[in-house]
Amino acid sequence: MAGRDLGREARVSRTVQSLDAVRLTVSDATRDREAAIETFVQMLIFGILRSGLYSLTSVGLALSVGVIGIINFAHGEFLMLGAYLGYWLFVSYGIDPLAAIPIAAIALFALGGALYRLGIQRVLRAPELNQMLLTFGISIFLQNLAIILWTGDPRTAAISYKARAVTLGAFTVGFPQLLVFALAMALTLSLYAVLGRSRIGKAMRAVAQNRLGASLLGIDVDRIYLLAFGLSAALAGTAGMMIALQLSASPFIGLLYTLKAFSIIVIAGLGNINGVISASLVLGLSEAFVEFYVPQGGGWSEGVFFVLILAVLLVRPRGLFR
Amino acid sequence: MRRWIVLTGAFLVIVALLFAGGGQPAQAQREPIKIGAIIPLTGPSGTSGQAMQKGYQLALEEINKGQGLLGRKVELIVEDDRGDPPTGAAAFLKLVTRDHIDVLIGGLQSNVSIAVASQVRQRPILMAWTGAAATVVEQLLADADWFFHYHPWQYHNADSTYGFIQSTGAKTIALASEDGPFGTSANDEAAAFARSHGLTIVFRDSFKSGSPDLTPLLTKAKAAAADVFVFVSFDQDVVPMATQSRQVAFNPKLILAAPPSWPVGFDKLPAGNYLGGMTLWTAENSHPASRRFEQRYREQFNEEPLSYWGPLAYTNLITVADAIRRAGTTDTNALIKEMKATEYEGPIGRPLTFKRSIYGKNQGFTKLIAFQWQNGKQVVVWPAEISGGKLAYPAPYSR
Repeated sequence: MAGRDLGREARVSRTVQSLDAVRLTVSDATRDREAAIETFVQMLIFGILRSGLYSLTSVGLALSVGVIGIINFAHGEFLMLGAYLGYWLFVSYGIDPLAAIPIAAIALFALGGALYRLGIQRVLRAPELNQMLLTFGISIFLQNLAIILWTGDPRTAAISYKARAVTLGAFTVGFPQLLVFALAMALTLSLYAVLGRSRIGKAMRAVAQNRLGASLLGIDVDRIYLLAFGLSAALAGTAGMMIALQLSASPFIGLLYTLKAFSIIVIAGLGNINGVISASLVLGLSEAFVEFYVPQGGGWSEGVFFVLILAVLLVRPRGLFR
Repeated sequence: MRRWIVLTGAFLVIVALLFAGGGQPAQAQREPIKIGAIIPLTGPSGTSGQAMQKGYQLALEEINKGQGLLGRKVELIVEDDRGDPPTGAAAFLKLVTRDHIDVLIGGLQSNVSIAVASQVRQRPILMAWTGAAATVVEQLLADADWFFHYHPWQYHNADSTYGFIQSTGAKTIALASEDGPFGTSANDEAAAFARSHGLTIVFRDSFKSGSPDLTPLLTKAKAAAADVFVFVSFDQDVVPMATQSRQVAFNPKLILAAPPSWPVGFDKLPAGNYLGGMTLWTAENSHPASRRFEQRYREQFNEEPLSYWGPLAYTNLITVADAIRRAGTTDTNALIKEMKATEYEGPIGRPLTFKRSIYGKNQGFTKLIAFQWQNGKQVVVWPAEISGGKLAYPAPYSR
């Protein structure tokens, strides 16, 4: 009798154990699924955050393409100069890059305006190849000037909150990235508002649509071009200031951002300033997901913009957001 | 009268012959010994190259203070390779054909070293070379008797790195490397060297140098929960790695980075505190020769020697000068013989001799030292015999 009871107890205990195992497997799977969703959302956040800086960098290039009709290969070098300005203002006078944004915007606006008067204006009616060669030359000149003045070594401004993080529920976000995203979006949306509602913005749009028609209406086309190019440089300089806030200033950072901005304006549709934010999101998210989910994805991610340019040019040449 | 003219003419001819013939060696002796240096004074490695130039300047002053070498002054002709291989090759051609240098020194980047060495192969001369870590350079010059290499090769770097990690008691490693030749060669050798030191690589990934956002990579590395995170890339990537590691709360027991140099201002970056690094020399080196070098450097240039390129360049020129002095000539074969006999303990803090390495015939330094950033200073923490402080392990990153 006692032996039969013992046998039943053993069976019951085995059943309980196997039920526990099933429960554990189920809870493991649930935990894994939750972790996967959490990681996915985290990557989504990372992708969205990096798109802020991308949109600020690209909107200036879109402006020069859309209004003046010139692809400025020196756009990244304006960003590089903004980053150096941020670095030196911080190191020499302790000015936080955030506070120095107006200084960068004014300085780069002046530089952009001067370059327009000295060079760009003279090639506006020249073949496109000449325009590209000129801006490419300016890019090389500015990069080498930076090397001569400040050497090739990256310079980092040791800002106290550079590595600070903000926790949003289960997610962690870099504080400078969040700040840069908010500022970049605010500036990009302000530019949209200026272009859409202000007199000068309407004049820019008119010139972009039809240079001759706009001039017949009494718009000073040359002045609008000067403003657009200066504004484009000022936006790049502001983006550079944000690079100084998060990363380092170096003579070589320009090219990477020119390429990214170029792919964004192609995705948005050349000259389509309003599509820049959406296109920046496409690039930012694609990069973040490739980096995380593709093996050795960090190496592949920088090629994402080439793939996107090719895909858009082949499938929808007028851009995804036009 | 005519006789006097003939006698005077004969006297003048004899004097002229004496000056033209017998006087020639005396003239030659007054000519300086010419040493050519090819280094990057501008370009991505410009700061390291400028530190090298300062190291050479200190050595040159020391050499020329007395009689110079063999009763002749030493002239150093510095050429800027701009980190560009064709520029480096052209600089060598200029140095040998126009300046007629006796010895070639310098060198930093591997790609430039390949270009220069290909030219030297066609016009062999003593090449006392400080730079290049990529093993492909060593393979290219495997049979070159005239090539003396001061900097450790990539596999020496790997051996030192994993040897140091083993000394911490760590068992597992997460490795992230940039996907260019520098990171790839480190990545290729990692598994074998880690295994030989009893370590396991549990995570391995690559990324593009210059990438502004490393958070996805660092999130993946964090999930691997390795003891030590090894980051192989350049100075521009160290800042995003350090700051973004804090942002994603990635706190391994140690983060070890080995860029060729560190970004300007990194010593003041709070997120850089407790990061480890591998190097040939740091300003915290307590060796007396290192202290003397550091003091002279500071007095002369009114700045701190921040990278090892200054003392390495100083060592480079001093050892070449010693070889010339011992050889008593600038003949290449005699110099090679004397360079092989080099025994020198200078500012690097360890003895320098040239021995066979895996492929090459004359290898100088083979070991790196490990340091940890502690309150803005590179405190040497390994090997124990020259350490200047204690390794904070596990590093208190999260605090």
